[in-house]
Amino acid sequence: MVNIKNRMISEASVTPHPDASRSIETLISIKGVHKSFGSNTVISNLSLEVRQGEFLSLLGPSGCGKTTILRLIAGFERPDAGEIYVSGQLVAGDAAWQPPEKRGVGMVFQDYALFPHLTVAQNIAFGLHRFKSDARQRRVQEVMDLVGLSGLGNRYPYELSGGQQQRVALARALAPGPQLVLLDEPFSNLDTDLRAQIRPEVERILREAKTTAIFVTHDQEEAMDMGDRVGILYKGCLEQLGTPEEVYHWPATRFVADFVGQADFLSGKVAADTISTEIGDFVNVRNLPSGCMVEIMLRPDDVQLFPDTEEGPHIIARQFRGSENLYTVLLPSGKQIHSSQSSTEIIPIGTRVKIKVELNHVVAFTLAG
Amino acid sequence: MAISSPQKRTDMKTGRRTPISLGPPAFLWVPALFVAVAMLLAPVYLVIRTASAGQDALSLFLRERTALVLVRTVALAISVTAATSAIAIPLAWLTVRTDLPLRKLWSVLTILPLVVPSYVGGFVLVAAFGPRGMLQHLLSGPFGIERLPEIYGFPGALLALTLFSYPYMLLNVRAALAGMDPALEEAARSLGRGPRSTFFHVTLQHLRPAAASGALLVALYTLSDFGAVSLLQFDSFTRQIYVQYQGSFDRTLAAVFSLVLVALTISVLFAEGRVRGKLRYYRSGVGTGRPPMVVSLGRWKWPALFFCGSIVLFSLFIPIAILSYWLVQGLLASIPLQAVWAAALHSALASGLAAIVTVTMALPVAILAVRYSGRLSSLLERISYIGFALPGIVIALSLVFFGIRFATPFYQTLGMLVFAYMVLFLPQAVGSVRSSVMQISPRLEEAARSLGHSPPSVLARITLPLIRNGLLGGAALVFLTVMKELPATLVLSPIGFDTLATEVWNATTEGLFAQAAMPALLLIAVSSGAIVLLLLQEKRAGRVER
Repeated sequence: MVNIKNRMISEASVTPHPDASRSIETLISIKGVHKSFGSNTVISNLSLEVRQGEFLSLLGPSGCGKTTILRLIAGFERPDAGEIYVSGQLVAGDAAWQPPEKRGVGMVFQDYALFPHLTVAQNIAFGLHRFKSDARQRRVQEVMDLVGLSGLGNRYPYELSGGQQQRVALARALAPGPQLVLLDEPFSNLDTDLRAQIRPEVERILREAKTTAIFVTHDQEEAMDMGDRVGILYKGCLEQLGTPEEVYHWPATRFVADFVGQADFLSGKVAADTISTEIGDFVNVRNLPSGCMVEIMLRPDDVQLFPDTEEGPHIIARQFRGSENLYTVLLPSGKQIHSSQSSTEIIPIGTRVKIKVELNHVVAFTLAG
Repeated sequence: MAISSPQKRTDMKTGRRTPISLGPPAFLWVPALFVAVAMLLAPVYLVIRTASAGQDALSLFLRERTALVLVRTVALAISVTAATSAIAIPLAWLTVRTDLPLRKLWSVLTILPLVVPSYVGGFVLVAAFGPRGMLQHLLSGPFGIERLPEIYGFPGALLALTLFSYPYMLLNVRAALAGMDPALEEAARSLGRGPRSTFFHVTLQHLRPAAASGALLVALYTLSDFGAVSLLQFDSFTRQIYVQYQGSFDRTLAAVFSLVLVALTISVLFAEGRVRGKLRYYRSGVGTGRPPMVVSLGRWKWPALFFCGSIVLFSLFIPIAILSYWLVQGLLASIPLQAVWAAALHSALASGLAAIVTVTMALPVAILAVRYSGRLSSLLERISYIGFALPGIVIALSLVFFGIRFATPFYQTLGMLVFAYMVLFLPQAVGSVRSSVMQISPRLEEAARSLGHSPPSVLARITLPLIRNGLLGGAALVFLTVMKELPATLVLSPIGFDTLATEVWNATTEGLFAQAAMPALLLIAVSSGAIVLLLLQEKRAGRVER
């Protein structure tokens, strides 16, 4: 299979990184890691750094290798090549191997993995086996208070609701005071209502515990909401690593643009200072060479529609989305683009419209050729 | 798209991530390796010993007598299989698919003969129909009949094995019938087939693999059986091996017979595996969950009841009546019972030790097989199934050879006996432990690791507490199965160490039927417990697979 990556050409790379000015200590450093199961490559040449106190979310479709990254950091899998450092110490590589129990990395599993034969308090105390008895009890109490489980210490996991089980899992991982907590799809087992309620609480708990966190999700809203930075993974490769705003507005690859938020891609041709498309010209910010064929990314909220014209493209579908309407517009070339408009006004299907695109920044991908 | 390796495919199918990259810790593979060596020791030495006899062994093998025993053994296996099919298939159909009166009761009663160990069955036949048996005793007085038709030999062996092994086939066929999707028959009817045509072209075809699998199980049972054929003096391989072992100084013939018998059982096992593999293909999915169509018997009800009734009469009620008769005779004659209690104590001691040792040894094998699946661990697991492939008498004989040559101080000790039990019953224990390990998510063990616990600590604090029920179930199963084991006990037990099983054997061979009745009844009770456990476990294993 030929996989041509359309590298991004925009001002994103010239924009200074918001956090780059601050020099914060690196906690996790992954260098050129490869991992395959049999002939199935899951992670290829992955490098990334996570800073002390940072929340990093890893986002990607299922099977992109995001869970494997967590398992590599935790020590449940061994990389085929490359190195992993925790606090500057090599924990996995050709030269060294530290088993999971020596890494001081906490993990919250997707299905929580609470020990069914132990009570809530015993579950939380499980990682405190090196503490003295009274210190252990104090710490268990402290963590139970932190996650709001006080009074449930003697219950067994099966006696708890899904949300409570989740908090036990979090408390258990936090109890030994790990430098890093890994969360694997932490909210996927909760229903939508509960998820919205628990997410900010988990974030508060983690921030209060002053821990660093990496978590994996396939829900982009979750990733954007929780992560200081978001890493987008596709087929075992890190496509982009940046703040949620960067990833949304300045996607590095065509895949990221498509995967994060909704986007249409309109083909255009570079002519000197402009890129011309069938709905108008855009500024050639990156000085692309003349004659180059590109695709311009359009988010639905960038596209404005003005009805009451006799000619031009017309609306072929409207999707009601509560606060807004999403319109599908058929262009003369047969290409369809989307526009979101306030739902207070309804433009009937069939209406011819004038299209105005307001871009703060032009994101264009060179076409494969 | 890259094509994934078979290893990875199975992982994806079970939805489990197996950390194959991290090798198993030494505290697992060292004992597992020890188990593998222990399992292979005796059978391999049997082969070596036979081979070293060289020309002698070959000429013994080629003797007419070997061929004769082979023909007898195979003939018995085929006859028993045919007879059990003739009983089990109609019984299965009647109890699952018809409006037979008291259907539920019949379906329990027809399975129960499973609890009669084959040598107890043999004892019952001898005690009832033998020259000094009950019938002779009753008839000789008023009628003056001095001789009954001979029960010993082929007819007796066929009768005993058929009456007490048909439930194996019945269980198989019944499961297939009950699990059959009613839509299959409905489809046939809607395509214009009548009830009779549907029965022959759809229902029976559907049962074929299950019946074949059941038939091979019964054949295997017959080939390995020692108790019934020996008590009924039918010269099949198992009896001949024992006779040769006891009666002659040169035991090469016993070794040759053993190897031929092993070749037979292995080929049956192999065939069984192939049929079982196909069976999966035949079984339809979860199905609709509707109960199958019930056929109205009409006036055929009476012959059907007569059929079920006579099977239950001969395989269950008459044996129990005979045992009770001799028990009462014994109590009336006030036969001393101390010997029975001593035997029961010995049985419990040997079985208890065997249960502990076997389950302990099964643990590393089962954990390796589930958690570190790979070529090596599956080879290991397969080696642990040796006890399933080899008849008890063969393992006992191999251990005698090995013990005399290499482990003289160990020979004829309780240790040697327990070792033999471990080799024989490790498969049961591994199966039991394995299914309970499979129920634990590997995430639990990983969570414990990430909380700072080393692999041995995780085993002690997470895995073992969670599989406790599986361990206890496996131990109980081994305990009960060892209680009724006969051939290995007979050959390997220390001098003077009589168990319930050897008690039944000795008393029967000496014609002291009253003395055999009490231990025989005790063994039936023990055996019932084992069957109940086994059925419960199969139910659980079925749930896990789904």
